Amino acid sequence: MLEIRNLHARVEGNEILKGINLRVNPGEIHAIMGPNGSGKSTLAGVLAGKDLYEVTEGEVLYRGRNLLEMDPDVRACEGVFMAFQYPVEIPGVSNTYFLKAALNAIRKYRGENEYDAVDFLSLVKDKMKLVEMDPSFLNRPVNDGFSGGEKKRNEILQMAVLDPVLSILDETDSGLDIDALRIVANGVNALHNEENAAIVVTHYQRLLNYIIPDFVHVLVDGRIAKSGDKELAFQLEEQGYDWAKDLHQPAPEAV
Amino acid sequence: MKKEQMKVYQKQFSAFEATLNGASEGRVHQLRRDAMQRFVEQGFPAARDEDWRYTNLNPLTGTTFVPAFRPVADQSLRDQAAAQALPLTHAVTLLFVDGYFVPELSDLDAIPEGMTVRDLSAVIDEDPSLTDSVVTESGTLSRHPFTALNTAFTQQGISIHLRRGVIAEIPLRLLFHSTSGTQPHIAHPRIVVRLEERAECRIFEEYVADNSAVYFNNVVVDVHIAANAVLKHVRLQEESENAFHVSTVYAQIAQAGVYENHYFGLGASLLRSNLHGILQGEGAHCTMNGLFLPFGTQHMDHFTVIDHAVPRCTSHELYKGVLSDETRGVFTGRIIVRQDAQQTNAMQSNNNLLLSDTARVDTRPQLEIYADDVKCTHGATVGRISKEQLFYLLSRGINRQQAQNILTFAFAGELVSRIPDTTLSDLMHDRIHKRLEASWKTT
Repeated sequence: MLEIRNLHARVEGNEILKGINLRVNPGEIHAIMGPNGSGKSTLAGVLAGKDLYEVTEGEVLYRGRNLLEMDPDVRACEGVFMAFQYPVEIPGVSNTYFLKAALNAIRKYRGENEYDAVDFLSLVKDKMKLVEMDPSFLNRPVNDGFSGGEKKRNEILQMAVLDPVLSILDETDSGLDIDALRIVANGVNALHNEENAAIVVTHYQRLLNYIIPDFVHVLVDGRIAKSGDKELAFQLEEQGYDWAKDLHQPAPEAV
Repeated sequence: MKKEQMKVYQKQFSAFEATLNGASEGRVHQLRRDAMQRFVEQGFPAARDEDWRYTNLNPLTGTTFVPAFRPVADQSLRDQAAAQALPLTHAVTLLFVDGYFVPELSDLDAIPEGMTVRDLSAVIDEDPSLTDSVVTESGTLSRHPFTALNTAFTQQGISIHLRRGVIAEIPLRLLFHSTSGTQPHIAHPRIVVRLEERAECRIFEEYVADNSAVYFNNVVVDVHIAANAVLKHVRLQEESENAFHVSTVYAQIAQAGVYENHYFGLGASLLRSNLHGILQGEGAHCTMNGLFLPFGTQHMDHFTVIDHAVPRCTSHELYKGVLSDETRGVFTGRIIVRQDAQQTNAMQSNNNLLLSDTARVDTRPQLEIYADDVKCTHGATVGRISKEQLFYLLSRGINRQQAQNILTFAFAGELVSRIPDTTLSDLMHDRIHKRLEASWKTT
């Protein structure tokens, strides 16, 4: 589904990603862990199409096509979804309006009928149960005045409504208490199936108690220093990232 | 050029006098003569005048306008106006064509009980004792040459009077339609609104025109709000793209009275809107909301004054501009708190969104506070579409054009939702939406 080959990227002249290789197949959940500044969020941002990042080398194939050539909205229409580390507040735009516009944009792109207000509302109310969100959130402006936990749940709600093929969760666990963490993780697990895939970017192991990854990759200084299964996450938890920083093995090829 | 221009207006004034026959001897006409003299002495405002600093009037003063003809009442005029206007069905509509009130084409039968609507010239002719309350030349406005010019030619216009305690449920719409003629024409409509104690009504003033008509609408609105009366005044200015529009609203608000002004500016090549609210009685309130959306090369200048003359009054002002292409916007927000006006509460903000690199806006909050126990806040911003918000929408599959529209409307929509009439608010919503989409397309 996703194939990242020798990806290099920089931000304002600083090279952050220095040769990432990663392969994600349908049905898989990959966790990307790493210390602050290792390039985790840069990787997520490059995949989502944030123009802050400049790709200098390498390629990313998504379902056989060059992902980096697609505009961010096209990526979303093609099924790529990023849950933001810091969801953006949009005063003046209601959550319903926003979600409906997004869903219909994607459906239109796929040549499907657009949802009318009634159908949309029943769909979105159904999905809200998944993230234990009160329907009153629908009339509130997007993320405006939401708590940290509410914002993250709103991200998962969007994910549930838009039903992506590839989800990238950028530090979705940051700033969450244990209840919110459980709700968010339950949402992600419920949406996971054999056809889709997720990349879970996180600093801490604790999210992985709830979302069980098939693979864990440790990102250090812009490269994947080590890959393994979920046991690797426990190892990191015990030994800290300093241990990983000392790894001198070359970046492993795609798993 | 200035002298020649004055000669043109003087000539028009003489011609106007000649049409008045016997009516040129009364007290009203003395006011007209005085006003004309003042106008001739002052001339049009110069760029060195601080209050006109950002607006070049040359395109206006350099155009020779002929007085508009009184239209012949024909149903087709109403149809033409309706074709341009908002499809509002629940209002009582009074039609004005080229500045002239056309009673034959107005819904005079539907005027609510307790409200009197009359042609201003008839009121002036019949009852000279009303002169002072009808044709005010009070305060700073008397020094305003456009008001003087309007007063000099005062005849076209209307007097609206609401009796004590009357609450008019149905809004009144004043629909001004300007037609295209062979020569640029000038009109001086005068609207006088008087609310007696505890009276309440909503007035929707709407300006529309034939496409690309060239004319100058020099409008003056006098508003008198008695104690505990409430006027909610919504104005939509959608003049032709070649039109000149100068409007001056002067509202005097008595004790515990409320005046709300909601302005929406879409049209005219050159606009100057003067809005003065005078809080004259304790506990009075004034709201000024405005949204201006110039595109192409339109120039829109908004000059607002809220005068807190007595204690314990409140005012709330929010103006927003969305500027595209090579447009120019100006906002001046003057708040005067007189020495006696203790415990004043005044809030003002002006926020502007620039959609292009070539648009420009000048914003000037001006606070003159002479009392010490007051609460005054003001703020002004000029910004662009947030990149973070834009990316957030894009990342959810919404294309760039739609995302820009959504964010622009998110900025502007607040003012639409404050319109004190849900039907009108919905219609305005659609109109503004359309306009914003068009703005992005040309930027």
